[in-house]
Amino acid sequence: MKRLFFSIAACLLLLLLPGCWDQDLLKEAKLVYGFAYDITPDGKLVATIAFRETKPGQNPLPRNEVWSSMANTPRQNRDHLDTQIGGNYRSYKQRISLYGEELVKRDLYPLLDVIFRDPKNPVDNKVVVVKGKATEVLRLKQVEETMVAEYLEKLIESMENLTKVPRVTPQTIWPLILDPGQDFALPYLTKTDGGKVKVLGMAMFHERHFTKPMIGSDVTLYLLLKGERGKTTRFTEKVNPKRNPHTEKYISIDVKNAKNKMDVKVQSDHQIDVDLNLQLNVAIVEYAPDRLFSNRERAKLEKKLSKALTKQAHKVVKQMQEAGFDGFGVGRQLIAHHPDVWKKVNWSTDYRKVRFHPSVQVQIIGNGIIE
Amino acid sequence: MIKEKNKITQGQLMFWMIQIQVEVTVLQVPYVAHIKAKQSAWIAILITGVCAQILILLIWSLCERFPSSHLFQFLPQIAGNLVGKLTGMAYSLYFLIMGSIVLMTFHVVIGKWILIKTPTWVTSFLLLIPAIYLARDHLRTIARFFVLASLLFVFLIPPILYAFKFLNLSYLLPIKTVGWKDILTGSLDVTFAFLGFETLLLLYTFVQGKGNGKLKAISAGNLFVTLLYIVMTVLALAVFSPGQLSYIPEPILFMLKGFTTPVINRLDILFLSVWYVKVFTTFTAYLYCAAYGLGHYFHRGQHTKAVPYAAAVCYVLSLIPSDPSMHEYILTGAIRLSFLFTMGFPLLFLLLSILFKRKEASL
Repeated sequence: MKRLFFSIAACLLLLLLPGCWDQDLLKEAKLVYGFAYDITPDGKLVATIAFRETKPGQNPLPRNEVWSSMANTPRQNRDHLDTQIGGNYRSYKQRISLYGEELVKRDLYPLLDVIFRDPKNPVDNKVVVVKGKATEVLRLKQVEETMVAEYLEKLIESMENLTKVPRVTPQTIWPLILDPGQDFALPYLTKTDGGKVKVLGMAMFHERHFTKPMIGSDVTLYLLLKGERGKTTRFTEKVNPKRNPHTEKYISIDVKNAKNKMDVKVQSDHQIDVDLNLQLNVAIVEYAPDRLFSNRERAKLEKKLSKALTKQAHKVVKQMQEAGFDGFGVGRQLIAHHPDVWKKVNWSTDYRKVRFHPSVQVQIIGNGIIE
Repeated sequence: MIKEKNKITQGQLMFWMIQIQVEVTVLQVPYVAHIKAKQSAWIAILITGVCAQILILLIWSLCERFPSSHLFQFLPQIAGNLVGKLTGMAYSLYFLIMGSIVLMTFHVVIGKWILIKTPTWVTSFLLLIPAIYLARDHLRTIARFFVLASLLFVFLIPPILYAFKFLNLSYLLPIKTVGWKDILTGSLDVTFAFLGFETLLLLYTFVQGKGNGKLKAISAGNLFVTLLYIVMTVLALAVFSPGQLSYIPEPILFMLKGFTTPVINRLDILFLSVWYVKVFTTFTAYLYCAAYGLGHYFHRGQHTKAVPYAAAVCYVLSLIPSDPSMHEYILTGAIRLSFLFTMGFPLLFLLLSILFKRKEASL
């Protein structure tokens, strides 16, 4: 009796355990490495995907295949593409997603829903806004010898390490989209005429839509003020405007240590003041004009640099307020520490009335192996 | 008298508690508490933990009056043969229902996260087979396995602590965003995650040592579980912004999904396989308790014979609900039901036994 029971159970298990329902064979999958979304004038979505294809032969060479489709939603686009590409659309290996400027000026959030809802979708890839058409960038297929999706991932990664773009993934922006007291920014890039890609800076968002870009070293300063730093952070500032030749006007510094502090103060008349303090310990990496052994010269340079960067910080804050981009999370501080005030403000308009008082102090702590 | 191989130590009792309490809803605790209690979710959980401790004291003092007999033996002594037997049966049924709810929640979560196309009857079945195998054994064997399974916490906790990289502590503030009424509703909603201590009614007499030691062991278990839940909740609250958390029923898994480590890309899948063992132990514990009761009434104390059909009942019950709203409904119902069995009956019987001075003859 017992033996019979066990043999029946064993047979049943053999039938059940192969688990045919959820198997997903790699050989049938088309691994999508990157996708791009654009919007047509009548509001439809154009999706473009880059997936990896290997040419059979002696030395199989992988290359990017690029396909497009048009539909109403991201999911529908995916289904359309699925019927075209001869294999199953699979996003496990997705490394980058590109969004066209025009599209995200309307609303980014609906495009992310499919990413969060499906447990199989990765949420740790790079998200980027493209000036012009995002599709164009993927259409490059290959930049030099590298496939476009991998190339873009590396490019963004190196920019993150240089503190030139914010480090973001769908996972990290999601809390910010759904929090009324904070905004997020995405890397902003464009395709150049020469068939290359150039990172311009970052795209500032207000709530769910892209408002304005911030370009160049302003982004670096913004990231420092916020307390985010990549592996290397470098500024080149003009300190000797009168000198000649041209090169001698400038100094290049590496930020070795940064300390940022933000204080949100609410005055009695509900005026909001924000003190932004940034202390930078820097090393000089290039300074042709003068020798640096005199302490006076150093102090002078420190002062000049502090002044220049403070001025730039004002510019950064002004751009942010114009864009309605609450990247420092001032609103979040209000929610957390002054909930009564928060209930009274209309953040979309009142954020622009916040008074920022940025100040940057620079201290030179190193100058390389020559004085 | 109880056979020696059925006796367990106090340490094993503690692990029994931990295993049966940390269970299928562990992934959802932060979310469930957050729905009503918002940023005060962790306070709600603390309250539930304290309440559980009070109920443990209640159950303990009832068992303390009958140190050498278990639930199904002492009930008739207090309330007479008929009523005692009926309540005993009701307890068996209650354990069965709890078991089936564990199964049900298990295939809801698994069906959502990894085995999307696999039919529910298969996923539950895969949990059922090892549970039948283990529940047929002696209590000591089961307790030993639970101790062993607790080693898995080593794998369960570090990935969660990885979240410290992503914290935004200002999400925790202001601490009290809602009134006490909502906080209490929140703590009511997480009750299910704390259940399991009522198995002490059955287990008490099998544990070696004095009453105080047993109380300590079981309280230590409860303390551990409460702290674990609070840590998880605080992390979930600080990783997800307040608006976002209301979209994510399994915040712990979602958190892990977003973490990328150099070696492992999808921590959530790894986490789920460890979680499976937690669900398995909880289910086995309930199955054992139910089968013990049924065995007591129908098989002269041989619970082994009751295990297969008890498991079959759980299995069938777990397959009944077809849509999520019904599942929710059943969970709420189970919480209500549990009040009867963790608070109502123990309190009633304790009062009765004090009133009529029903107590075991002192040894």
